[in-house]
Amino acid sequence: MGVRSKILGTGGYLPAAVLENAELEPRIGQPPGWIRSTLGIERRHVAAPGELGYHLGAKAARLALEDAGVEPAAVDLLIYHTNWADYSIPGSGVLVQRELSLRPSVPALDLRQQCAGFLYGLAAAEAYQLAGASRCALVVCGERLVANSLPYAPIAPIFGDAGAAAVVAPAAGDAGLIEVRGFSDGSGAEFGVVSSDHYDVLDPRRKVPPELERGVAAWREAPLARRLAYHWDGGVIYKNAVSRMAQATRELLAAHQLEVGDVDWYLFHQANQGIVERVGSLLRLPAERILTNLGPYGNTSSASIPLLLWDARRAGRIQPGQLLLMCAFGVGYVWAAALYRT
Amino acid sequence: MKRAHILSVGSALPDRVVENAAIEARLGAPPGWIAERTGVRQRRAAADGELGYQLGAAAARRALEAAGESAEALDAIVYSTMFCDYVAPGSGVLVQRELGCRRALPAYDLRNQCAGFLYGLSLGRALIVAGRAQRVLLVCAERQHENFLAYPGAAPVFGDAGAAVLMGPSDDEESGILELELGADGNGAAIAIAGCDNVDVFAPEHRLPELSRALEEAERQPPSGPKLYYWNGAEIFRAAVATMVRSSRAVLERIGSTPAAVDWFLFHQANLHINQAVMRRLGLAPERCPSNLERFGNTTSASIPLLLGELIESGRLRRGQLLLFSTFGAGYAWGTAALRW
Repeated sequence: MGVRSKILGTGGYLPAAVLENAELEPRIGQPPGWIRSTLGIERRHVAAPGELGYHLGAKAARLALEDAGVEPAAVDLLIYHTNWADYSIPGSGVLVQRELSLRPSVPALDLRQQCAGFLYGLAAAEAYQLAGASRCALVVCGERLVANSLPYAPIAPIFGDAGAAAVVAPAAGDAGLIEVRGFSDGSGAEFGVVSSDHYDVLDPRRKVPPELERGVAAWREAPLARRLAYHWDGGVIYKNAVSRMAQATRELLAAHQLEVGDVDWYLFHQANQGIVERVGSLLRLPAERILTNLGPYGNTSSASIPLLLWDARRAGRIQPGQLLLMCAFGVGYVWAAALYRT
Repeated sequence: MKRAHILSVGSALPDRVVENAAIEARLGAPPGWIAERTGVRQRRAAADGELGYQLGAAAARRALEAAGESAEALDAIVYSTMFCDYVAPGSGVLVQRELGCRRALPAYDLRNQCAGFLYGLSLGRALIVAGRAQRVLLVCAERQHENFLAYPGAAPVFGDAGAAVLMGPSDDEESGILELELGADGNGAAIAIAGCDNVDVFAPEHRLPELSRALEEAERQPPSGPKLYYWNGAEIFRAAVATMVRSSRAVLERIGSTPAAVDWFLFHQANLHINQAVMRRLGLAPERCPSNLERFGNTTSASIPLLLGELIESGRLRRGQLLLFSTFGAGYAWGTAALRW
């Protein structure tokens, strides 16, 4: 048996402020109970003023290091992930490095993989460790999504703010990451696209790139509070999320001669209740094998899977020798699946 | 373990050339001011509708052509940019689409500013040495000229470009990436910072250490463009020179070599004065340190692969020669690699 990347500790950080559905529903013109029944979300945590994504990530990272019993000085690789950058320049990995006082010889990779961020980060950490280039990696997800979503009724109820982190180190033996696979398919780009402030597609003299044509047309009909164009086809994303997560899960299990029943816990990205349930029913999974945190946290993007791990480890649900299947899907499309032995 | 190597290079420069005179006129600066301060004489600017990922995809196609390989042979894409084309999705998947890849290969998106090429090279190397990939396409694409035009400190410097390298295992014992080190120091964030739409950096609750200097400066003089942008050239200069010199020496020492044994030094092209100081401290002759700053400006993560592409095209790079790449940028983040061609 060779070496596997093993998660030595996990940490999660949920900002103190909580936004209940009851407070949000009147603001988006929906009746009481609508968010819960439509999305499966009951409340979400919201970052405090002045609390940026990297703060959320750094707080979770401290807890992960404590959980692992690892000193910050032992970390030799930092992989930071966020959907929405705190700054154009620099990345936020260096800010987590500063907050934790990691050694300056520690590379701080900044990844941007939407909701598949944690598993892509895990794949990068594994590559460094199998290559012998890292003995102790910190994979950190910091997502500050609520403030930017609130002005837009269709997405206002979805997201929650959170930080989550895992300490990953190579270890001999059966326990650890058995395999992680990352995927992408840019033919899906046009179904979930949000413009950035670096290319003002709303300037009428501008040539509009193909993936934003619908977003720009929509903005012309009904301008938004901010100068951003987006197109979000929930139906197409839903279908692709379900089919691709189910397929990636089946393929990964088949590659290791495993059946869906061999897996103790399924950790799917928590985008919404419908997607998670549909993947579960396609794979014929018993509901009690599927971990969820949508209710209390909402969709925390890349933080959702490490938060599931953190909560389940603390609750004693995850025990040594168990098999975990993690799978996430995000716009792009980018998605990933991982098989892990605790 | 197999060594990772660069198998081919491709570049894509936008057609439009912007001369210093146009920018000097815009900034009200005297003729010659830009060349003297930065060493830049002209830069390329992407066309309307030409986004970073399109420059990246064009460079990627050329890198694949140069290696005689198809996109179907790829196992992973690693994409690096400073200014993201979209908030969502990433641009790596768009390169996957543009190349017509039928395989749903992993597409990483990196955001490590001027260190992006070295960080990407490091990730590609890890994937290859770990046996997780045989072919990694590292794409560095920067569309930044337009975004910086409003800022007198940055407008003269930045140019647009795409560059890509195809990576794979080395086919012999000698060639490939011999050593690579990366570093990061978030205490440098305050020295070079730019806000984005996601955070209202002027809000009183965002008096964060990394914004302190930028906000002080903004109080003295209102920002000249829509964003908060701060760049302390003198401090960057000091940190860049010291770090690139230290890191270059350290990497060479680890492979039992010295600057005298290196055939080609490919330094990030941020500023002529930084590179001249590094060359002086390391005792390097200018002819061993190719430059493209004059023609292309600072192309952020594309600068080093552009230099490598030109070196190959000119026929000057020969098998067995020793190359050193070194870069330093915002973050701070930096990296150095030694590679045997």
